[in-house]
Amino acid sequence: MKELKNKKILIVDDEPELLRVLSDALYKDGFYNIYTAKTCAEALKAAKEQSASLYLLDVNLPDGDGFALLERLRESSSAPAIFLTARGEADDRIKGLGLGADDYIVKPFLAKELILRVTAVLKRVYKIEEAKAAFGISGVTVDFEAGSVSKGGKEIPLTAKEYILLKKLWENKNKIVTNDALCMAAWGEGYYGCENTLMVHIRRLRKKIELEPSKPKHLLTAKGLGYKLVINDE
Amino acid sequence: MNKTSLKIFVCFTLTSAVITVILLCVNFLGYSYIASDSDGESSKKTLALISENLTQTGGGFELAEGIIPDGYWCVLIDENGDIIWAENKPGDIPSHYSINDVAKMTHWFLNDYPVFVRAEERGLLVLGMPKKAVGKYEMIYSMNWFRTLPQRILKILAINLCFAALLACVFGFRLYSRLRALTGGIADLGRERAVKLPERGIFREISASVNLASASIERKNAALAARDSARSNWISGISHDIRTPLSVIIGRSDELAKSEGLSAAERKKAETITAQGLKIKKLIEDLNLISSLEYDMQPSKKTAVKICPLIRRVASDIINSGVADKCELELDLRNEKSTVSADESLIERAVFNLINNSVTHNENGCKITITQYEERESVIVKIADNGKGAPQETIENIAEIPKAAHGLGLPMAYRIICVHGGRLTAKNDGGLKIQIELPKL
Repeated sequence: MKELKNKKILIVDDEPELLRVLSDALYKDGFYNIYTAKTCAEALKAAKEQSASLYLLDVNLPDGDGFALLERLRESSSAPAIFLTARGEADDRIKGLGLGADDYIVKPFLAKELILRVTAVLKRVYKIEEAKAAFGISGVTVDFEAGSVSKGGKEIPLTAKEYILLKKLWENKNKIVTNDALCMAAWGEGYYGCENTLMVHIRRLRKKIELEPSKPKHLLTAKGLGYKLVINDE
Repeated sequence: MNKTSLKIFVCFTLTSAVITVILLCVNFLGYSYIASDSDGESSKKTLALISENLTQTGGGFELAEGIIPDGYWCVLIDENGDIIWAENKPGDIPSHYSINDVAKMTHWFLNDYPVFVRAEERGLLVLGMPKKAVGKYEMIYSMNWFRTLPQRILKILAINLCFAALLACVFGFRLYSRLRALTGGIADLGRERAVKLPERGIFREISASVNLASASIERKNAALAARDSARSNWISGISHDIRTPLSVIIGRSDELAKSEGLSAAERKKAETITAQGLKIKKLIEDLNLISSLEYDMQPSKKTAVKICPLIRRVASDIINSGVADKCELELDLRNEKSTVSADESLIERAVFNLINNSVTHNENGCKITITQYEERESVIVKIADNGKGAPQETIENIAEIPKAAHGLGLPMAYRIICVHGGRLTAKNDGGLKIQIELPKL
């Protein structure tokens, strides 16, 4: 995680107060390599002096827009970019056009959301895995790195689909993940009609991770919606 | 086919046929009037008058004065062919006639004088008219001609009628096609479609007026749309401008709320600021959406949306957010393949609003049932709870955007469904019962 926090982040926004808020929030979370710019020109100059690992760009800047700025920045760097937009849901430019943005945040936002997105993009782009790629529930340990479950001292391997499903559920632990989202993760687009297959896989997963598969305590069914992985480790 | 134009066309043809028949009758009478000639007839009467008034005296005949009109003459020929009495006799009239002479003149002329002859016991009374006073023509018709006359008249009438109808059809069709263009144009005008009719023919002026009206409607609509979009742009501009300062407010209050240097009470106050800031954020989002929906804007990015996964997603999100802990959600989605053409994020918003309404308005919990099925060409989604229901006023004014942001959920959902060509009905019946109907793709 240290590697992640050391990444250099360039924040570009024309509102100095917001710049301070953004850098304070990131600084508080442990991102110490932050530098800021108020205009496109300043941003280009700053990027030339020291290359950034992530750009946090406002869409509207006094001397141009964030998209044009990103294009210029990308000439010399392939660092990911997150846009800050004040347009809300209506900003199709980010959603639809795929202008090379890795994510976007709609103003106003909470520090929590900002950190979450910055961390997620950095993790994805720089392939930084979280140290904790395993979890334990009621005497069963799931190790994603090994792709296996250890139950009662026995090592049970997970199949590829089971691995994907369990990972997806674990990423959204204690929340309902819909059948559609699970099928989409495991079988991709055009997954329709996979519900029965999904049910079979869930049943097998329960046999592997539940002590009493017929009375599941962790891998629960949300009737009509999907499944939920309940983990009370926090 | 255009009904009105067809009616006009039929009326026109029938009227033409009736007019033709009336004209034929009038013309027939007129013809008889023209054909009648009183002069020819009156000569015969004069002859009769002369015959009555010609009296035999001693050795000759005598006629009262003034019976023979001016320029006329009269003679009486005995059975030997000699003139035994004459009045005004011109010099070029012979005084003796052979049988041949008599036969020749009987029907025709005597030395170019038109003559009328009356056979009497006294002899042959001949009335002469001035030269070129009348024409005489011989008319001979067979009895067959007389017998078939009524049939022939009927035949001619029928031919006339057909011809008139044919002509009326031809001219009527031309009129009809022009009328059709015209009525089509006026109908389009009613639907506020652009109209450009060719400005010629008998409807030139009407066409020009219709075109003018269309142009002015278009101009007005454009002005209205410009005003609406100006307002809409202004709203989105303002909300855009509010977002940045709001980010600062929320960012800072959020920071204060977590600050360890502050007392618990102060941190609580900072939290309140954050919560209120987030409320403003939601209001801005609603304002933007409402302002675009208010003008019945068509959803800009329609895609084929599978409704069941959408319902599951929204329901899961609401459960996951923890607000629905007291509620029980039951889903009965029957047509897994149901697809509608829609802006996914808008429909998601509508479904969210409806479920969220039931959750937030029933603080003590309720059971929410979501049923989905297909009926004919529609996809039906029913969202029903067994809670306390919505205020009657809200249900009655579902189509109105409320003046305040409070109670926006239902009207917003209503608008969203409407701009997708669907229907939303709401009623209180042991809880709030909502039915959404969207056209099936």
